[in-house]
Amino acid sequence: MHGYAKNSIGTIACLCLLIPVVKAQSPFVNIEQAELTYTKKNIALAAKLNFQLSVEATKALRSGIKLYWNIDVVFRQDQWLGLWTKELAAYQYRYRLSYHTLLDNYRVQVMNERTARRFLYLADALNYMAKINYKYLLSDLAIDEKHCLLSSLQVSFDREALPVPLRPFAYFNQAWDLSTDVRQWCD
Amino acid sequence: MVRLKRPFWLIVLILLGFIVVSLQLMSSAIQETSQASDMYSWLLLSNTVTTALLLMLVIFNIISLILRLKRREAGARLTTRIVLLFIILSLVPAGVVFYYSVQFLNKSIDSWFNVELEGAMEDALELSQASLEQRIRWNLKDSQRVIEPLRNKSSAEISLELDNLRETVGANEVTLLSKKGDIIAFSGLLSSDILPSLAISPLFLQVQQDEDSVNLTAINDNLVVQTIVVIQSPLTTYYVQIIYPIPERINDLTDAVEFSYVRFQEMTYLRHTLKQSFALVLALVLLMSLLAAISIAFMSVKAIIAPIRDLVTGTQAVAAGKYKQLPVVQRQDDLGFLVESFNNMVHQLSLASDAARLSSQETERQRAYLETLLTNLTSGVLSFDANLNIRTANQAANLILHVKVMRYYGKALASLALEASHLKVLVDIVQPLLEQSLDTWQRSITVENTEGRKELLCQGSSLFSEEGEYIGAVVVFDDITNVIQAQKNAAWSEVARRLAHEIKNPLTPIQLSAERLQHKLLSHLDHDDAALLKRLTATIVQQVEAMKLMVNDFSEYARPVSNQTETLDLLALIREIIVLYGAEPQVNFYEDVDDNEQYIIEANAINIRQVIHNLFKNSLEAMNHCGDINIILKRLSASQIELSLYDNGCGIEREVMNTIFEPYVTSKPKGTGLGLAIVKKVIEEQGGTIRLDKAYQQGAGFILQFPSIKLQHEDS
Repeated sequence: MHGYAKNSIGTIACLCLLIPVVKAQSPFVNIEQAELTYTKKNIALAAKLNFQLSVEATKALRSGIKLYWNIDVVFRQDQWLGLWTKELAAYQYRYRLSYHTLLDNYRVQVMNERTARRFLYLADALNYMAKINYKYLLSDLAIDEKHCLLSSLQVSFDREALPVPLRPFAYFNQAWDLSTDVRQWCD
Repeated sequence: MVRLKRPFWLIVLILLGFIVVSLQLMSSAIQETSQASDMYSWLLLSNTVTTALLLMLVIFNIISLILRLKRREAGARLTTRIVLLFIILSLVPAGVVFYYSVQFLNKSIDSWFNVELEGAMEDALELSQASLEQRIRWNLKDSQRVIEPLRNKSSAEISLELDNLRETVGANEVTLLSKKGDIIAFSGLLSSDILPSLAISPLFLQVQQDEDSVNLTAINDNLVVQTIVVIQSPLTTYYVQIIYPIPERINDLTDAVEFSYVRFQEMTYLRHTLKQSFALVLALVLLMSLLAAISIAFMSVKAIIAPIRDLVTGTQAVAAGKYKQLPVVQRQDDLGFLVESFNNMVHQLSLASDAARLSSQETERQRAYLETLLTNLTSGVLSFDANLNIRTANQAANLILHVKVMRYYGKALASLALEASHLKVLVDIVQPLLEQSLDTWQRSITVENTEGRKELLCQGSSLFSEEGEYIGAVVVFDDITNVIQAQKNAAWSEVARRLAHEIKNPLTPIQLSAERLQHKLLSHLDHDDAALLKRLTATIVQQVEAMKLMVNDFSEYARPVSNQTETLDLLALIREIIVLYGAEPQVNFYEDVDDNEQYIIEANAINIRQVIHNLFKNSLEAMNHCGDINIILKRLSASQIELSLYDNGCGIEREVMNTIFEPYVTSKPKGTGLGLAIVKKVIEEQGGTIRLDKAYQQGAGFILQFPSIKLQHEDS
């Protein structure tokens, strides 16, 4: 009983400290490079991520637990001499990484596009997810050329998509810190 | 049953309801299939926050209780005992339930993952994989078999055979690929299929090594077998990709096996976290239940203790003499009865206290009245206890006896005579009378002190209680000196007035007759007779003149003193009178006065001048017009001035000292004895006093006291 009680009290104490937690950069996932390329009609977002899984996350994946990430892309522009910022467009891409036991391969599915790709090796699947190439129509963004375009990119690991018993512990275990900080740049 | 206020129970019910709902939601959320599982983290957080709030509430209550214990507040100890009892009663069963629940959960969860089940799951998966492997090998052999006749044909010929080939082997699609992987020809099950479902896969790289290959893969979550067979011709190399479907039944079965296996693997992985989650939920249930129970215990005890605390506060108030009733408690239990009884008791006490206070006030009022009466009495009053010790005395007693009797409270009357010797006569007479315990008695007692003789009229009475017990005595005495003196004065004035009236009238005819007799007869008588007549008539005239003077003195004594007064500077008046005595070179006047002081009195200047003249005249006669007269003027108080006159003459004989101010008392051979009597009468009628300084032995000394006008300060 002592062990469980200790664990429980420890968990509650940790949860109490949830609010003032200062987030450190994830050691597993970060954005190495991100840039916008303009063509006549389009804007292309190309980003290179350093995408790795912790041992704990790999073990969970191999145990059949599906892992979800959200990639958020937001375009903003300063308005009125920078007094406020207007959001031009926001896009979210949801990725699911799963392991197929019978076929012994890894499956990456982009939930928005309902497309999936299978990989024999986990590294290949992560490499696939690490390369981001999105295109947007300039007409959709209604960019004001007088001001720079403020782009932001963030990859967030969805802890709430984990199985219920794992969720509270995922918040306090660095092995599950699989999100990046927000990368912002101005073009 | 303690009846508590409705809001209290409402709060308790809301709190319990919230806790139960929250815990129920969390319990549901821990099941993956529940809709509440999406809220699991928030529920956990909200329950944790609630637990923390409850914990803070309990800590606050505990600190408050400790402070109350330190202050020794009423009900604090009882609260501590009841709360401790609550904690023990709730902690023990809840702790036991928690322990066994956790044990049961752990064992239950562990039982899900026994070795046999794990082995069966792995066997099932291996069986599925073996079955699929066999099917893969069959499909590969089928592909090699149907491709064998096409080895020596061109790509165009092969392309024409693709549909037959697909139908022969029952494949979904057949694709002819060049060495570089380009699609040469394609045959699909549906006419709408124009491209192969599978793009070039990594398997194709293996094919590049000129080996036939087979792979189990999935298209749209349906398992398929992908075979690639190499056709080596002399000119080039072709690849034929044939996609075989897995029969639906086998597909479903393998999916089911895989699902179960993956689920089992997932549960195995979550085994420890699942235990921890259950333990966490149970711990939260335990903590919240305990803290809620303790909080409710505090609130309940507060409600239960309130009347007891009020009772203690009320009792302390009653002890302090404040008969404040407690608020009425609308409850029919023992505490309600106790509060009602207490209020009845306080009411009765309050009534008794009011009656006692009124009685005490009445007694005090009577006592104050009696004290005022005694204080303002001109008669001196002395009371004695049963042992004849002095108990009380009024202000008049102090003034009459010239002793602060208050200092002798509790002492015998005889102790007065030890300090004040002039009271020895009084003590010697009164003490035996007191000891005899007579009902009433009356004595006239004369006491003498440095200021003169006093006539006291003493009346005594023994005091007895209602039961007839002797409780002491009271002596009332009046200073009747002035009364006797006034009576004497009145009598002498009447005598003087009658004498003056009866004697003065015949004196002038006697004198005139004697002078006429001398005038008529003188010429008819011889020398000797004439001389005799002259001598006799001269004697008659002389005696008549003497009698006239005496009659004038009588008239002066009997005449009422003028009551017209004026503001008078006594020092200036004395100096003015001294100037008149400048013809007496052998008489020296000495002044002892404070030049910075003003000696203003309100009196009749003529009368005062007469008084001082009389006194100076007496002194000159006593000194035979040769000696010193000392004049001492001093202010005794803001309202009294004292004038002392001392000469170094023959003084006053001891025998007449006590009666010197009475009429017809004189030590001079030719005096009428009315001089000092007139002086005393004038002084007293001006509001002053005069007395003989008996202590002065070098001559005669008189001390006069005048009421002074209240001085105003120069500053004002």
